[in-house]
Amino acid sequence: MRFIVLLPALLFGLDSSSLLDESLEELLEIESELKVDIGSRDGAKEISDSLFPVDVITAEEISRTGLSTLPDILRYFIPSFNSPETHIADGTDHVRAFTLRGMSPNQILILVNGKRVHTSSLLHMNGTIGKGNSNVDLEMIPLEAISRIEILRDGSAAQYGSDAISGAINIKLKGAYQTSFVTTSYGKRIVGDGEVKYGGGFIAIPLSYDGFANLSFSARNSERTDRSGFDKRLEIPQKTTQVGLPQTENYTFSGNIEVNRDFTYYTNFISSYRNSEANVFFRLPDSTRTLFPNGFLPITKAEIENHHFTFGIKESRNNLKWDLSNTSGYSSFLFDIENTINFSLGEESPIKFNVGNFTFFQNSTNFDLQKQLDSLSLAGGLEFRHENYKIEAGDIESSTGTGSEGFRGFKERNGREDHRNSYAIYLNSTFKLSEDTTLEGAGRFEEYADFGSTENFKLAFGNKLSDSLLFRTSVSTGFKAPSLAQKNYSHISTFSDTETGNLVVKGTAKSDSPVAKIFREKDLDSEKSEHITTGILFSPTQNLNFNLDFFYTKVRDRILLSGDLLPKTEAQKKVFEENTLSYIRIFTNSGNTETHGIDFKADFKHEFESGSRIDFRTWYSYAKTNLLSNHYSGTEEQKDRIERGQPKHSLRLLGNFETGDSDITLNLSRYGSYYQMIGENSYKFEADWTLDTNYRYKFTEDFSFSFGGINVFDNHPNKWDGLSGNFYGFDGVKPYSRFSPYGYSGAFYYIKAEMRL
Amino acid sequence: MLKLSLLFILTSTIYSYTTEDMLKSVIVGKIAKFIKWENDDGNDFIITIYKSRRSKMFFEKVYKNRKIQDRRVQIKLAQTVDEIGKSHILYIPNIGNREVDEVLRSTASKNILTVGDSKGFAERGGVIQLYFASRKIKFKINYETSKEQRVKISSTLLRISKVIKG
Repeated sequence: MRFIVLLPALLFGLDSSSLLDESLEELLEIESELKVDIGSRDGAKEISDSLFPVDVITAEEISRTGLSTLPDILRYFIPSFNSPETHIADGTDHVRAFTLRGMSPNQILILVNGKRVHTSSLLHMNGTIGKGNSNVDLEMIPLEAISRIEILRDGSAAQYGSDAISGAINIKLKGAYQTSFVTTSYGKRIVGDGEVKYGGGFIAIPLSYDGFANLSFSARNSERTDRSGFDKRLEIPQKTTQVGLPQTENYTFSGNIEVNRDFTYYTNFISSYRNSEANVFFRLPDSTRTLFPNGFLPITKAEIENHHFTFGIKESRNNLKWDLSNTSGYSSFLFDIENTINFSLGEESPIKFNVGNFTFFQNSTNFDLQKQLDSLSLAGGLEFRHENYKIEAGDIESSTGTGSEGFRGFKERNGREDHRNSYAIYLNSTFKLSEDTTLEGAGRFEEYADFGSTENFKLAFGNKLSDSLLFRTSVSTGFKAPSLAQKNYSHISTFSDTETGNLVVKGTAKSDSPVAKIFREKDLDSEKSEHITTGILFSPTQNLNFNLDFFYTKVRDRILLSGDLLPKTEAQKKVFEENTLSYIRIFTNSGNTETHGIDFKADFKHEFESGSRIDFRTWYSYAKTNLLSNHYSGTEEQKDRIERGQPKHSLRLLGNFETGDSDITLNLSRYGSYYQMIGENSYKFEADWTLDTNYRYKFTEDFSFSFGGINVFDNHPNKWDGLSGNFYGFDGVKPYSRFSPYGYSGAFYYIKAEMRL
Repeated sequence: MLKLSLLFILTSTIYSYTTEDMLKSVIVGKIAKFIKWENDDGNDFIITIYKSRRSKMFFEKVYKNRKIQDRRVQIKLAQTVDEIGKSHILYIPNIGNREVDEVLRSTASKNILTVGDSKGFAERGGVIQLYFASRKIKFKINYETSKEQRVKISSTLLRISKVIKG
């Protein structure tokens, strides 16, 4: 009988009055629709009301994965999120780059509780996905602290400012009414390496008036993996170089505190410390050397710290909400190289060097207002931001002569500290034209002390064509400010030309150096973007919905790192001579790109009479980027990496079945093909499937045990097809591409236990 | 296959896509079954919404042609504390702590069941606070305040609620 009563609601959409026929006990068991903060400034909204494509990953979903880092979590759920596992890529081995919808790492804005998170001080300068960019170090955030992750797949710089070009991700920390717990897990790769030991916890302390003081911590020890091939340079080929994930120890500590009195006082902080070890290529034996006559493998070591701290005060009164807050972020990256020498120093060479350090500090002060009128919500605010970037020279021995082998240190002339201020004023209004039709507009003016001002706008429209069908579309402009790292990075070193034997001086020049200016007439400017997103959300029944969204993003003046530039004009030759340079690379606003694609998502949820539940999600993403133009000596490799280095097609089929005390989760992923260029040729890596599983059993209401695997069938990407070589090649030291979207270390199995306190 | 699909739909409980606002407006009527007002004249059941047209819209949608305690339901809107008339339930949405205090002061001892969803509502002197934990709706009841308001709450409701001291 009950089903007959519910049938109209289930078939024809939402009818709140039918809920009245449920008993009180049944109502208390209903899960409400997920709400999201991201995408608008007028308060949390149900996903089904959002004018923009928004996805949510909940804490419960995270706990069912067995994964222990945020980049892995996002890759698990979001098909268009790409975070390759690199190797032999200098600093990038220690801070993973990531992208959304095939764009660039610094074209994603990361927020914690709606506040901007600082990027890492590391600039990716090796030939990886994201070369020339910085990104937030996502491993700084303890998973235990996360209530939900909100992913906005739309340009939103008009709302949030710089970087929100491919989208924005808001990490929502756990708030009131939480339960304390501890968790631990252990796992390793199927071949026996890559052991991961993990422990974490969450402590919830309720305060009066529904305030809370939540603390989270985690410790993760991850052993390196090695999937290298034989080193054929040796008389008897053998493994010399480790190619795989780095050895890391990562510690995080976070807090989220809210005190409610007349006003609401809040603070949250996240601190992380990580030390990480990777390596470069093996240096061959040389019997004439006193040091390392049998060859050596230089080890790169990074000590990475990240701190994020927000405090604020807010109030709601007479339909007016105000919020005054301050957010600080600090990133430091201390870079050493060990087990190596500086050949120029002969026997006097140290075997351990500090090659340089980077720090980045960011402080944002915001004042936000929001007024709710009948059908109009008006929001706006002011932001003042200060940024400081510092690059410090390494030990002098690391840059003397040919420098430390494996990674030459930063010289005194590379050292630099720079800062800038910016302020912004922004407005956001949402107007309900009718019960079914909503119009939203946003505008943001921002003035940067270095490159000037920018104005950006967004207009969005949503119409409920029926109770079950929402049409939505938005157009917007955006920007990405050149980072202080891009403006100030320089690394110029002396190399021995392998063909001629002559010493050449080359590297990356500061953007305002005479040598950069001789090639580039204008100072480094911001990237500008234009966006269109159109889609539908269709919910034919209460437990089934579909999303289909199309997007188009055009980026003008994209900041790219040039190829090696040679002097051509007399003026250029003169500057080169003055600086004893051979080649130089510079950052320029040289690229114009367009990216388009679609996302199709279907969610089905069902609860059986027995109480068993099944959730099933299909999510397909297509994203294609074209580099329309690139002046200033863009290389073919760069074009290939931008256009074909990441999969265009991606799919996730995620299912969870829960019955009694058990639940099982299966995640079948399809990663599309991609390419990597070596020399003159681009090599294809075929599309592939992976399957992840998790089984959890609840022994009691408070204690659960899980086991499972990531990539359980131990799939590996194909090796270089047709490329043979000492380093890169199916028979070389690096048999796999470091662009592989699911890594190359193979199956990982784990056990996990969680106990509520 | 079609039959199987239909079976899935028919045997489904309301599992998702029920908004918080919907649940709150429904639950307010449900809990009325467990309340007795000292000065109840037996006429229409009156729910007054404080300041929120949006909440009023939800309540009107839910209780259109429906009854509470077998009585017709009237949904009223009060924009100021002076406009709060005779009511069985005063629903106070999240309007801010200081304003909640003002409203609760103005309705003290008036035989009105105050229901709110702002943080600390029950501790501030509201009778029933609605809140969501793990996306499920829950109650906090300030038992002392309920006595001051002269509303009697059944033990059934108290059993499934978190009861706080006033």
